[in-house]
Amino acid sequence: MTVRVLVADDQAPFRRAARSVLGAAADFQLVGEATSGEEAVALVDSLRPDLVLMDIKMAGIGGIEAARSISAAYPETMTILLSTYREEDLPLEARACGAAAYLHKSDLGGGRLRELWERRR
Amino acid sequence: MAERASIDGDFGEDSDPVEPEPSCDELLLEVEELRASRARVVAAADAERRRIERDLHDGAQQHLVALAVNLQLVRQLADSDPAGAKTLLEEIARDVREALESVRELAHGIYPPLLLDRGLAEALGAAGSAAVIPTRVEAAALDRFPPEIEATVYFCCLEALQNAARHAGAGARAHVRAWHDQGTLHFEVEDDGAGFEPATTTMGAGLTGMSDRLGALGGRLTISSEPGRGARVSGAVPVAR
Repeated sequence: MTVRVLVADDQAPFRRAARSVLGAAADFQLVGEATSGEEAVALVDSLRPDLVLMDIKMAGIGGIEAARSISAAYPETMTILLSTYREEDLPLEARACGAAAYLHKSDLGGGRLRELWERRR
Repeated sequence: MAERASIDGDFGEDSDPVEPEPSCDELLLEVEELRASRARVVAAADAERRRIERDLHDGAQQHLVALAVNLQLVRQLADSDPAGAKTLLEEIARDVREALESVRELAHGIYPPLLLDRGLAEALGAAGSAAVIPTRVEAAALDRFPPEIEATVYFCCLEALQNAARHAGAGARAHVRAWHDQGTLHFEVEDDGAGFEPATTTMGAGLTGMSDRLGALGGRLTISSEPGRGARVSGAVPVAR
């Protein structure tokens, strides 16, 4: 099975890096990119990805609120929260927004994604 | 150009030596203004820390994160896909360049290296060359002053130049002057642009911050303008030499 992935981040350097990681992982496929929480919610609605890589800190509703909306509307879609913060610096809502996991952005890689995806199933 | 608005600090060259003692109400007003000014200085320092955190997060940190991700990937691709690894190395080189540029810009904004090393005259000259609107700078004869004085005058001039670039309109030019005269460092940033009506214009956070910084050093800020006749921001601060 190929896991269809949406990347939501307002930072172009990270979106480029995520594109490279997903391009090199045969079992993952990038299906869309969003630059805000609102856009991520809209793209989940239209693209129905299996997995959303969601940056926490974005303009507008931000990643946590977007993850909450996605989890409520599409519980079958897995969301992984991303940021450059240490896990202990995350706001409490990050743990209760319906996201399946948290990943420090610098740890993004095919192997790590596969591990999180398999653990979820 | 008539002066329509001014903000005075504790120090002024026009002060009258036989000025009558201030009344109790005037003193209370002054105390209140000092309290407000101190609170604004603290708020401005906090805002600056937030700006630096944001700039680091949105700038260098994002490039470094992308570098970390791509370096892991390039290690993985080195044997299996050398062409892909080579393409990725070009992306890594770009992220390194952008990260360096981002850090350089941030460091420059915090304290320009030229101001630290060479003083106000050269730093103002560089700021004039980099300004969005054509700017002439006259500050060559300036000596060195204490860092807090140089930084305050520099950032006041920079803020005034940025205001001129934002509000003076197309075709406007600016003129920056700084000079030392009898224990006082003066500066003036003037443009020949659209001007404004001071009586009906609210002073922005930038100008308020300039006024507070100068006031904290015993200086003062004066803003004057007329619609259609440009704007002038000038200041004076006492310097102990």
